[in-house]
Amino acid sequence: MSVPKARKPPKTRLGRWLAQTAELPYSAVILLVFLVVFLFVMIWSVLHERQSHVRVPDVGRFEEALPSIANLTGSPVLAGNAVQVLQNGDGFFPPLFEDIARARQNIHLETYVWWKGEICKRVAEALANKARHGVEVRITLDATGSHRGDDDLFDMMKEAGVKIALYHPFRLSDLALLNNRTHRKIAIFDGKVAYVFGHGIAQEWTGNGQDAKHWRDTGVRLEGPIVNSVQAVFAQNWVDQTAEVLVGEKFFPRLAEKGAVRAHMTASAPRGGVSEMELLDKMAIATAQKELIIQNPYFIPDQELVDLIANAVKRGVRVRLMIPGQITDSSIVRHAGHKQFQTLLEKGVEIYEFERTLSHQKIMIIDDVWSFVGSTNFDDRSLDTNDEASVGLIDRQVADELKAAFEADLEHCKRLDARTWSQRSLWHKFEDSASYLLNEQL
Amino acid sequence: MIHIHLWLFISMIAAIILLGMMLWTNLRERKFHVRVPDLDSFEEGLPSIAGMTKAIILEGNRAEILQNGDGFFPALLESIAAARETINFETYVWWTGGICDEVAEAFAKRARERVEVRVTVDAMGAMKMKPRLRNLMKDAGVKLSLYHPIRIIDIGQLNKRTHRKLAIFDGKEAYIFGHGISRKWTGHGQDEEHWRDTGVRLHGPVVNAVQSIFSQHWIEETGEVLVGERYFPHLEHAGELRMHVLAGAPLGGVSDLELMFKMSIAAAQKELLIQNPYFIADEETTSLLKRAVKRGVDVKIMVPGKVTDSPIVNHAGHRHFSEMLNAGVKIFCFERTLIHQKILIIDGMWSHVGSTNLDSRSFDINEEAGVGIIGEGIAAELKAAFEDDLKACEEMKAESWDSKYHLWHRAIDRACYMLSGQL
Repeated sequence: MSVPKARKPPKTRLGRWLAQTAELPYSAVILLVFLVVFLFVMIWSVLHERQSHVRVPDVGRFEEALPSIANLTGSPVLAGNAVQVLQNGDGFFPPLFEDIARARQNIHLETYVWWKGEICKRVAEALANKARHGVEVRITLDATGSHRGDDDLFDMMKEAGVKIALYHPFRLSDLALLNNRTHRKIAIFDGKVAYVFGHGIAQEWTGNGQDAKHWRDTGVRLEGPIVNSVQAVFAQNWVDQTAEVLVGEKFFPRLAEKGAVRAHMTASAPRGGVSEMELLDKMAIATAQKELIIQNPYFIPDQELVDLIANAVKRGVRVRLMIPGQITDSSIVRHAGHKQFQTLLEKGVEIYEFERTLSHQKIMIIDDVWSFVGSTNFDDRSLDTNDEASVGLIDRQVADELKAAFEADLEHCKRLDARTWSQRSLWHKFEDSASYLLNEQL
Repeated sequence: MIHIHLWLFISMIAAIILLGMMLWTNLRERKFHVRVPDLDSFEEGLPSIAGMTKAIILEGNRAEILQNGDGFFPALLESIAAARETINFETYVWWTGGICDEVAEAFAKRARERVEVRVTVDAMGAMKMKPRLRNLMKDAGVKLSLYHPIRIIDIGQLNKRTHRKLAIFDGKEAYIFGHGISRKWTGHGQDEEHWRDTGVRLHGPVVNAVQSIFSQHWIEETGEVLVGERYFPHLEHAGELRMHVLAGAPLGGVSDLELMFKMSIAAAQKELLIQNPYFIADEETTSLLKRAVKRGVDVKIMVPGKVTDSPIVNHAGHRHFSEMLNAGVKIFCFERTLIHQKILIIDGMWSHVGSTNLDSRSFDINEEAGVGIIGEGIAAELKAAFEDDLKACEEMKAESWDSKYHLWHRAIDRACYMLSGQL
């Protein structure tokens, strides 16, 4: 060590220490620089998002594309299911409690959000009660999403015999996994009844979407062969976190047909390549022929999605998009989404902002025949980073029911128009652009 | 010598540590110990084995077993000639000369006749494929995609190869096999120059699932999405067999193939037959096999003897032989040629055929594909072939293995086993 010929000596002791020079052989410096560059390239090549430009050919009818959409995103279409649409907390929690009470052998729940409030206590107590009566209860909780949860409740459940697996808890040895969360929301009862939903376990999701404190959301309750697929999705993260393999009839029973709905379960856990969800969104938009309805709280399309949507409009598809207005839990996402609105509006997309509360449901409805419900947002975090689960339903009645709800929601919306949108304030435009810079992580 | 500021030095060291951590946490294999509960019958475990490996059991399929090159290549060439709209093909090994030219020419011919031909070849596996062959196909209109070509920006991906071997014709007929496209795989396993291998030809709803596995890499490398009846037709029942297709695409988490393999050992009740060219049992597999023997399962494992294309893997595999032999696992070394087939047969009712070796490279690194077939007829046919192969085997005996197992051999085995994460 020697003292450098410093221009201005640093004031603090640490500063002075750091400003010293060390004498190293050239080879060592070259090696160090090489190592930094090499490791950087390695990690970048492992983690960087591979730009995928998906080319979807034209089809005559949307139905023609459905087997491809289902198969290419990880699950074939299964016939013979019964579907019940569950709107908001009031439509969701009561049947959930009923199914908890009815379960005889096992209950599985995977969720991202578990915050605080009366409803968390009720769910925890209901599950603990079943565990005390000998029902196997397994919960996969995202470590980040449940960070705000009440530890006493988790302890109470564990004491009652509920098995809780924290998904990707903060550990130094798992540094690279920390950005990958499970955003899936599913529940399975005795391997025979499954829920796929957007709701979190938190007070915000109770009620009927009536005000800013009670959010709007949608889920479905499923019976029939598709339940095996939902169970398999739960089993993936469960075995990852606990190594416990779910074997036997009580988890994967042979399921008889229960209804007339054909369904396919799409779950993604992106690890390089094109994620199932991204592929599904792009294929569905590219093959819609008459009508495309998207309801999503986090809508940040990339350029390719914008092009696909614009093309759809050009083909004569009526495209309606509903996103949150002032009431949002993530204003940065809202602004990042705005970046592409001008183009979309000019191309003829109808954009509506829901004003009554946060519309948190993730819904797509195409050509009155296919609906998609679940946890998947329309942003890079859902399409390229997080684990998601949604179910595709091929059935006119289900599509009609969801579309009626969409149209009822329209009455609480403000429609954006291209002229006034282009005149939004400079500050607003700046916020939009700045937020969009972060889009890969949103 | 050079003077550098201490803060620069410290930040470089910190960057190396941080990036090293990031890389390690991303790539390291996460150890897990599968806990499989006891079952009364293997059948009870099947929906779980399928479900846990992201597949579901599809009904109404038919399968034909294709043994060695003589059983495989003529059938493949026939299917190529018979295809009307689309041919999709994926493989790891594709060299030059003889059968390699023949297959390339068959694809080229059909492409000229306006059949859509798509071929995915692993960039590493196709190193010995001459540009002449590639150009022959490309000029004829075959869409040829190299999987994970060697590029600096993909350096982190280079270790990951596609080892899948698939062919799908018109979306209605599928092949899953272990064969490479090389002269070594022709013939009928008669000598060291002609290897032993097994594949299956499938009809029925399961073909949709095989098509979707092909599509994964195709989309990843080319961006082209396969949509429509030509690729995914509605498939009527074509037979009585129930099947599930497995496609391993590891990277983080528990590997589907490893899970399938370990679950099936844990669930076997009567008989477990394994034929595999690369068999490296880790501690857990060893203990699962020992427990199976204790339950009364007849466990027979067939591995290559002197004829192997990978002595390191052979040696690494030896690591737990003594322990397994002494516990009553029967191990046979096939001496006539390299057995390259990857077969599992359990309780005379379930078989698995595909590309998956029983080593870390197949479980945790490469992309693999295989099919589980539920049916006694197919299991019996594969078992008959297994028993026929036994005639060309030497059984290893615990006493003679232990007495001949010298320090030097032990040291080599241990050294090879230490590399097993990459083998």
